[in-house]
Amino acid sequence: MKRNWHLSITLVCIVLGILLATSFNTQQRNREALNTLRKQDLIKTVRELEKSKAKLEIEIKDQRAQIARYEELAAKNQGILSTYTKELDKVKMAAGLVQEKGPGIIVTLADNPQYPKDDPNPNNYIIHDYDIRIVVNSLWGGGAKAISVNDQRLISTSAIRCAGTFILINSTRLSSPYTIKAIGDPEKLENALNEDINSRRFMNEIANFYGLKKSVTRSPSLVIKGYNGGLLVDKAKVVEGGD
Amino acid sequence: MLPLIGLILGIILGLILNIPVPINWSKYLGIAVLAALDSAIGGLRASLEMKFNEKLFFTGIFSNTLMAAFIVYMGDKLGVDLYLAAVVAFGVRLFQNLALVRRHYFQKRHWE
Repeated sequence: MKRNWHLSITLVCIVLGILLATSFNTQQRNREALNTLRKQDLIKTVRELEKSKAKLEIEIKDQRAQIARYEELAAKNQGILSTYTKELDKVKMAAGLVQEKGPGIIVTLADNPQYPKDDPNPNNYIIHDYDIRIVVNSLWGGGAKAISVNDQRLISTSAIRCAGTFILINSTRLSSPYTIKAIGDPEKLENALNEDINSRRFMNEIANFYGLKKSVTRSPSLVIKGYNGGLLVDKAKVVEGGD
Repeated sequence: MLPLIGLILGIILGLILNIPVPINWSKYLGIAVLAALDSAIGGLRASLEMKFNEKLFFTGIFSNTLMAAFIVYMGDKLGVDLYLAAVVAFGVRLFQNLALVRRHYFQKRHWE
């Protein structure tokens, strides 16, 4: 009899223990879940927007191809229009809307895969938006005709900015490693990287000190695709009297 | 002593198994914990009073748990926090039984 009740209560106690532990775990999970719910919503929104953006970009590409076809037809038909068409092609090239081919250099930058755990500031060991800006600016200075970062063509309205753990270029999320392609005279471009004090410091001192991966290679023939995004600017306005 | 070992064993088991429970079920889990706790203390009290009956004990656990679950379910469906009724009932019983168990131990010591 005595053993009986001992065993019964022990059994219930085992169940009670399991329930308690499960309850505890569930509570812990719930706390996380409440935070992740909002996050998941946001992630979903971003994903959907990115999908629709990709679709729209394809649409833009198609439309532009259509326009180009019409332009060709028009150019064939009329002499006066062909001048304009040539002009238009030049402008398109300058605007970065068409594919560019030619020699150039490829600069690859990547985060340090293992930063020391005792360093309180892991930010030192990753590539930032301003690092890419510095390099890109030097390349423009070296007379680059076209530049792309991870196949995002840089145009006059392109911004290189930081968004959490990503770098946003043309509103597209990019992450390490970053491949910067620049078309131009390879020697001039490479010299430009060394001549500009900021990029020289970054490429030689900072990158080496923090173990950031970098490489600069010359390429006899690079292909940089045209920009496929929208060109509408709805907030910025031309300043009166500015040029 | 044995029940205590059982409890610790159960907690370890639960932590190891880490059974995923959906959020909407957490109320039921709480009630189940209360019911189990109530049964354990109730059983202890009955055994101390030499009235322990296995059948009564186990049927009590099941009927209490099921009833409590039903009340929680109804509360969920009706939009009333009915589960509070179960919480209060179990809570009151728990403390009553605890008091009796305590008294029992002291009386025993007193008589011996």
